[in-house]
Amino acid sequence: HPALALFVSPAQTSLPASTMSRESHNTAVLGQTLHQRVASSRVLMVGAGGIGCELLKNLVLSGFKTIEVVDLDTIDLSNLNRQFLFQKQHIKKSKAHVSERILVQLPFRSYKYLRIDDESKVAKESALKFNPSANITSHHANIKDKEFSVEWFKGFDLVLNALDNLDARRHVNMMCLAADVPLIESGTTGYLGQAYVIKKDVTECFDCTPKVTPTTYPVCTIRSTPSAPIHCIVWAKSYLFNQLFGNSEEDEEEAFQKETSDENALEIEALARETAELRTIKEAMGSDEYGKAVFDKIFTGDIERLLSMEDMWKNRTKPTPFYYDELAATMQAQTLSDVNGLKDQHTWSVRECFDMFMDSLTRLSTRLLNAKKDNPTNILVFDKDDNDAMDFVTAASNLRSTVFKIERKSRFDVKSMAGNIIPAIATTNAVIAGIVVMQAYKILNGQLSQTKRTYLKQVTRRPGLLVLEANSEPQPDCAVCRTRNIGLKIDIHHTTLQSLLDNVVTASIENGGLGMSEEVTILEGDRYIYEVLLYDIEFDDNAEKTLDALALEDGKILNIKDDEVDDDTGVNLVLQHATSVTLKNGASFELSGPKRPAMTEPESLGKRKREEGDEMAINAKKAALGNGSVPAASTPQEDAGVINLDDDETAIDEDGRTVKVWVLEDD
Amino acid sequence: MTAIPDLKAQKYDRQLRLWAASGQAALENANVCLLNATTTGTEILKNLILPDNAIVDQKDVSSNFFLDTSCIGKSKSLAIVEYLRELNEDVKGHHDERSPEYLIVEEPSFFDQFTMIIATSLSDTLALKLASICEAANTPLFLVKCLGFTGMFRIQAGENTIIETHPENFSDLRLDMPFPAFLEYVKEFDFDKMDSSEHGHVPFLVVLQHYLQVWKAAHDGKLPASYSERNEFKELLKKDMRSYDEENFEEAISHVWRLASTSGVPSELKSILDDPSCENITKDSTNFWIIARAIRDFVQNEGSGLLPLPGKLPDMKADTKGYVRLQQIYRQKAIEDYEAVHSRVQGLLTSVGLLSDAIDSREIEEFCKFASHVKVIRYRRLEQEYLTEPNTTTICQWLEESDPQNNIVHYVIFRAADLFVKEHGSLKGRDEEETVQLLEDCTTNVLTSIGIPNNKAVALTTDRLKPYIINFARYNGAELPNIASLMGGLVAQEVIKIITRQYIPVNNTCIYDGMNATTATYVL
Repeated sequence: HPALALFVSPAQTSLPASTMSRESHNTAVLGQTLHQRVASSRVLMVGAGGIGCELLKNLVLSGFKTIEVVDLDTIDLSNLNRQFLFQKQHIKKSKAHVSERILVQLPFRSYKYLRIDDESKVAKESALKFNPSANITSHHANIKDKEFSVEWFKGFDLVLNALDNLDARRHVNMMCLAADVPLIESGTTGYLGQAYVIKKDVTECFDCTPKVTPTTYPVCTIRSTPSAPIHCIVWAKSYLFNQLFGNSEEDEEEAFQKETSDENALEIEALARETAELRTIKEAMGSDEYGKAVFDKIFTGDIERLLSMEDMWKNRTKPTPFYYDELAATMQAQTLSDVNGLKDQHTWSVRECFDMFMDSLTRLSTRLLNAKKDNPTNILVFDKDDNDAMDFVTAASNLRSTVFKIERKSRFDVKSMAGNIIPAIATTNAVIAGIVVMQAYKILNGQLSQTKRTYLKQVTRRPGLLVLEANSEPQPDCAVCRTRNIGLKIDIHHTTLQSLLDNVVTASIENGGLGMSEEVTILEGDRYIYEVLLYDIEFDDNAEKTLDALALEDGKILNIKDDEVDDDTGVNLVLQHATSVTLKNGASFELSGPKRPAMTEPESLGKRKREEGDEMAINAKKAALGNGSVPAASTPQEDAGVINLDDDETAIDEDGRTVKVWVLEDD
Repeated sequence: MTAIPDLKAQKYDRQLRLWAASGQAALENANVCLLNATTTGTEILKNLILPDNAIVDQKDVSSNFFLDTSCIGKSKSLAIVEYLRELNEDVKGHHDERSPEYLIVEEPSFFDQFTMIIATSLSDTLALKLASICEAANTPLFLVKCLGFTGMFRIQAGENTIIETHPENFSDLRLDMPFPAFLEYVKEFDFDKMDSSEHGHVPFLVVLQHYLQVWKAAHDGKLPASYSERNEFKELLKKDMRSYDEENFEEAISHVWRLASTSGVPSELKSILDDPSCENITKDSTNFWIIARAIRDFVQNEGSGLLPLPGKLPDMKADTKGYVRLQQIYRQKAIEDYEAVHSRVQGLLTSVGLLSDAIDSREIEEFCKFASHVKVIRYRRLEQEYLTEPNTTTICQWLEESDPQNNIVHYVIFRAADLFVKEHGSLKGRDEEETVQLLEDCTTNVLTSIGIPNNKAVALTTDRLKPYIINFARYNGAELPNIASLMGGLVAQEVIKIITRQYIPVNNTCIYDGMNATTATYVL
């Protein structure tokens, strides 16, 4: 039997137990002052995954005493290969809570292996001396929840990101800028990793360099004319799965509205009909005929309809529909072959896909029907770690690929493409977590400006594993970090958007307003609240709504840009609810923060040239409003924090081309 | 029926995506020995255990640990093994109470059972003895040291041959030397007769090759060789674009620069193919060298100077039909080349009296695919570094470089600290000033032992190394948990590379400086 023998011998140079404790180790190396600062600092760690586990352990061992952890996730089996705070019995539990509990309840049991120099003292003394139990607070929550307001962020000396997605990274970046708290951003993918410091007005922020947003595909490519495996996977995961087990009716209508053009109007109409037909079939869920009905619809009927549109296939390979009875009559597949013990790496035959499709459809339908018994509004949501869902998406996408003469993919590959999976290993996380703590030391030691962006690279042409790069200054036109943050106390229940515009935004600075023109754009995150250039009924409706009716509540940040001013980075209004009773002198609102930009450009340059660019700006905004595309199955790069390496030696591959390095945290 | 991947595949899902099943199997078959369970040592083990899936026979698991609890040092290894087992229940560890010194000096055969030995905080004297034991048994050895803000590791791993180096973005397009089947395919395209949709969907490789043939016909059969000729060639392509943004033509234009280099055997590979190990194949030759020899023979014969075609195509704008066809043509050629190499491997195996299928065809396939990127590292022995052939000139040069990030200084100080312990006892609990003074003397002695003249050694110590010595004395012999975590990560990563024989490991020393957050690698 395969065997890894671990042989461990005792530390040769063990100490007499009384000479040193870990505390004194840390003090010796860090010095008294820094050690004190570490002990008294308040730290927020966002994300308790791969890096998070390593980092939390390091923080506790390094003498940090007040730590809060926020993580939305629960623990999955595939986490256990590196997220060492978690064990089998923790699967499905909150990462944040479990990591707190492990570190709180079992601080020295978990870490006794690290406390080898003074094992005997551990039990007696260190529990008292080093007990972090009162100091780790965990939140099983989304960092975007409103309880985590700018004010709350201000309560920390340091924020450490150990996240796995672009969205949350951008959010924490924005909150830290608004709260003016230093942030250490980190990420790993495979053998590569990075860590760097973000501080308002000192370094580049996360959004100073553009990040690649997820690829989206036109509706018609996904629904009518797929030409690559990914198109079929997106179809199975985002369209079919949601139609059968979820509730995506609204999404689709919206997508269709956005994308309809003269050329595809007919096709869009037909697709909407297809969707409606599928809904009717869905009513038979649970019956014996259900599986065949679904199959006939999506692999026979819909394909035959597509084939009838001859124009579509002039320059494309025609699809070939499947017929249920024909397929069912083909030779029964062998049981899924077990190739090298890793059966999901083998590509299924058509018959295997067929059997799996029917079987997983039944499994998921049963689950959905059972769930609906508890609550009729229950739905199933696609999850890459849900085996029924992965079986279904693999089988359905491969059947569709076959119909369209596209190569089939193994379940392993489909999972990568559908689930946005990034290779992750313990070693890289350990290295990066170690670096994050070093950066934290520097910040607490007042050396923030001396920190460097640190990358862990593979050994390539240049020897060395860590590559350093000086921090860049904030990009002058960055809409995120060059934006002035202004606190706005206002009654959100009684203030309409229009009165906010009149009394706060466009009112002159002398009159206590922001002094912006009437041509402003207002965004909350990626959501457009108001926009003059782009005429839209909806915005007129918004004007009369109160702020809370627009879900603009406490802690939300409104980004307001003046379209009359070139390259305006705008202002961020951080909302805080207050009634006129609580405001000074019974005022209707109160602003706090710099109302004027730090540097005002000469008037002549600041005025915008109207003629050119407007159309482009409008188109760009339209695109931002939603281009009607079906959300793509993410590629591994989707949520990446892009690194642009300026060091040409490290950023050039063997062929002499500049390569981008993508670095992410795992999940 | 269900396709639920086995639990193993689920648990190791993320790392399988990095080093595949073959790498995972290699990890599971490894026997790793950790000498001295220091903080860094346990971090290394933790990182190795998390990804491993291992079982060990328990015959040697000591049952007398209760007897030893009074002895602080001795109970540690057991406690560690116990805890590490909690981390990954697939792993069963084994601890031993015998001291590393006893094992190295009195029972060297003990180490024969291991595929990998990692020693932390081992004295240089013992390290040298252990290194020669490992060298004789051909067992890779990692020597790790970590104090305060600094850490280093040294690998001695004999000859390390790597087929799967995982190069990034590599492709072998052979623009300058198209193979006949591809040229035939290119001729099928009649660019003038296409409608604009067809024209916009010709794969860029075909576009490039078509126009290269046009160019060659007008230039005595020569390719665009100079920068200006290549620009001229780009113009030729631009001229025939049907619209200003025809994507496939743009792709073709963006690949024109590749014509600057010629297909053939890259120089690093050439020196591998010229290596005596490649020349003299015996029944004891490793798979790597036998396949390398077959590749060499292939290049000289069927390949006409070219390596086997990897057969991998880059993404491109094309219709599915065209792309699939192109893929088939490339794949077909790759299969033919592989088969030629395969039969040469079989011939070589039989010629030295081995079974013709003694080498797994997958290994040959991988070699063919990555031939231009395979790597051979021959690690210098520790004995060479310390005693017989110290790298005096280079070390001296590195030390004299004014770059403050030059981490070689820590190497000298780690060695001085070892000498210190040997001559004066532990670094811990001493008066700092006294430590500094004694450490300075040791530093000078280390420099002279490397072969640097005494006066120069003294000057280097006082001018260059003094500030680092002062810092080192302040560490008071303590390991810092986050530095241990980081070193544990770095070392485990290299251990995994060597065990799985994938990716390129460090050759041979890596030194970390936490103050500057830099690593540097040196061949010592």
